[in-house]
Amino acid sequence: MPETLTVLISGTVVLLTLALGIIAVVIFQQRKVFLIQQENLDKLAESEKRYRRLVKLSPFPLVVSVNGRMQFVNDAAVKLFGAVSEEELMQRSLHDYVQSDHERPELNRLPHLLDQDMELSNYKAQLERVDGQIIDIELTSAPISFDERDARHIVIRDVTQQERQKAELIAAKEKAEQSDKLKDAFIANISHEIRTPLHIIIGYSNLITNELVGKLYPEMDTYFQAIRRGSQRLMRTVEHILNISSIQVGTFQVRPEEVRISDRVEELVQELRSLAQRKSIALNFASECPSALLYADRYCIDQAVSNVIDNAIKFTKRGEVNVRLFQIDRRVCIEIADTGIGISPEYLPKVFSVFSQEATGYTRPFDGLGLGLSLTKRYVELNRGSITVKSRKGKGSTFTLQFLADSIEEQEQRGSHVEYMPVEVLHRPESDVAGRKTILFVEDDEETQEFMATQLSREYNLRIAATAHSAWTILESDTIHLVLMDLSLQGDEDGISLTKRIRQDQRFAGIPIIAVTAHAFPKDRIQSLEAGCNAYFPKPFRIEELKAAMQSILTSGSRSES
Amino acid sequence: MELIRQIFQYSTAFSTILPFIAGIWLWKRLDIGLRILTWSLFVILLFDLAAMFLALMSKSNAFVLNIYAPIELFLFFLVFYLWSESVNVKRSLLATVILFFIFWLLFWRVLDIKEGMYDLVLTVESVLFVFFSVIALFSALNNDKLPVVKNPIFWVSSALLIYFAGNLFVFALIKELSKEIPEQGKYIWIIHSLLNLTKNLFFLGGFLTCRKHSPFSSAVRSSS
Repeated sequence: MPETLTVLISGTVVLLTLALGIIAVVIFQQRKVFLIQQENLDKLAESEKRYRRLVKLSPFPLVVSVNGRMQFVNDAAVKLFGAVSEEELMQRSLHDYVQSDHERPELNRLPHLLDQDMELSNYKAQLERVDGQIIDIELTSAPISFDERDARHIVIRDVTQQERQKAELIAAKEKAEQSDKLKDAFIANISHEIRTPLHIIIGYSNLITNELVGKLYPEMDTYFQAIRRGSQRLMRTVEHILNISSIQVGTFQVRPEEVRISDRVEELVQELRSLAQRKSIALNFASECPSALLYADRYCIDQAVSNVIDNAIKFTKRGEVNVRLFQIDRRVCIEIADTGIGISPEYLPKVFSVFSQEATGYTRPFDGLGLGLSLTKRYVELNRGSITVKSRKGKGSTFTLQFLADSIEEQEQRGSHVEYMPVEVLHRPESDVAGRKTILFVEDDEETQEFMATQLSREYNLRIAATAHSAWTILESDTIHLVLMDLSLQGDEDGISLTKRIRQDQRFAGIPIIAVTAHAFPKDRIQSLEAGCNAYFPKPFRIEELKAAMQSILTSGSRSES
Repeated sequence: MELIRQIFQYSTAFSTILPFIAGIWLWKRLDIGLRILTWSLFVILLFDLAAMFLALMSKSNAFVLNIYAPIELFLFFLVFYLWSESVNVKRSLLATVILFFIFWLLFWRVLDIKEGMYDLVLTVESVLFVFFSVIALFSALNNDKLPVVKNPIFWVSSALLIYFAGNLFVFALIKELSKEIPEQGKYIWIIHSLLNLTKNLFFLGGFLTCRKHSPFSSAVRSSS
């Protein structure tokens, strides 16, 4: 056989074998890969079947839509839409079910949003069910690929019940707010209605006592003092009830300012000293930190400290009440220790509870509503402070009020000076004319008008107006040096509004105004001062104090508060 | 022996009809690659008939074979090029084909197109197609979505691999062998006929895979 033929045949055989080998390898390897893939596909199909079943039976209504046409819905969706079958539900476009609402145009954007390639989360809308019922829904939607098409996966939640409950809650809240407002108004009215007659009672009893000095029988003087004490006690009780109510509903406003606490406590001790003296009890005061400053509401501090001292005197038959002021780190402590009846260990935990008293019933030895300490605790806490008590029955009690002292940094931040001034001068009288000054008294209560006229007419020229309108007429026709302003007036305009109007008018802006009112809440004080009053005297007040303040303002222009 | 040779010679020339008819039958289900292959089969059939006619007339068909080689290469190249999704493979195929045409043109000028050259051209073409087919086969291996026997690329690539690998030595040595043993040399051509028949049967197999793919699916395309 020729060599060429041998080469040809052997070469052909070799190459053919190689070719067939390659083909065999490809078939074998690809089959292996294909089988693995098939196995994966089978698993995937099984998983998809499982998932589909899961989705189908999901309690959450699910819809897959392509351009608004529903391609897949589960059983829960069929139920939600009120359809009998998937086919019935899918007959209409999803957009056809979306309810348009002219009053709520934001709901009408849903079809437009569903056509866009964006995710929606908890979108609120309304659907019209197959049976025509309108339901509130919340839907979450995301773009997905479904059968190789751009689709949207939509999860719908029926929130009709929640929306109804929400509406009911809002209505209830509005009703509660309205009730709160009514309650506030009621409390304010009660306060006003009690304070005004009390003011008259206290004022006239003072007037009678002063006018008839030396002319009264000794026992009559005692009667008048009893009237005064009774009125003051009633005043105090009313104030306590109103304040605790105001704190409880959250309308009590705290107005912090710098308070030199040592001076303030000393003043309070001085005021209560006569009470202690009547019971032959020594009331001592010692301050270890005379320059300590608090950033707190002065009214709250006054009420808290005087309540505790007052209680100490009340429950001490003999011995002494010691008031000590000291500082531990940044805490200023006011310690009030008495040698009184003390508190039993059983009652001690309840001592700050509202309306709680250790002894109750017809035979209780001490008067009061049981509000004082409860209020004190709230006043203290409203000013970043705390109150503690230690007591032994029959040996006495020690109350300690702790407040956070005002740091130098805090003072600098507020840019204030450390000197305590009651209130800065806001307005001065334009002129100091010779003779009597003319006072405008704006007051709608006739008895109060009469009382004040009696008290002031000897020293001042007096003009009286019951309404804002008549007050304005007097202001325009006369030269008024000072206005005594009641906040509650007859007519459309109240005292606050009139004060603001006076302050805005350049002709009268300089006239000092003193608020004289039975609206005695802290917020009333804030409101009247913010409106432009130079001073605030809640009824009932001591006429001497008012006169002193008037004199002070008319001569030096200083602002004061009762 | 002569009878067997003639049977093979005729049957191989007409065997192209089978895949061609299948291609026409399944035309709507074919992708562009298989459609070009169908047209290629028609061209091949014409050339085979021309070559056979010249052989029967005892005239040299070397001229037909010389012209046929670049046309066949271009058509099959087009099929592979369209099936390939790899940019690098496409570039390699293109560069190889361009080089082949330069080579063919050079030899056109140097060698006698009527009598010489065809053995060398066919040999080079065979080497190239072995290379193309192996690449296409291994790309078919990566298709995990379709069994290989249902992938037309596998059938077409296998057909060309078997045909050109088997004929490489035949094309390279046929002229030499015809000089050494003029009478027996022509029987060697039976190998070519046999392989050509096999190739066409594989092509037929490739077309038949499309019976259920309507149209040519992306699964098949992704394998190329």
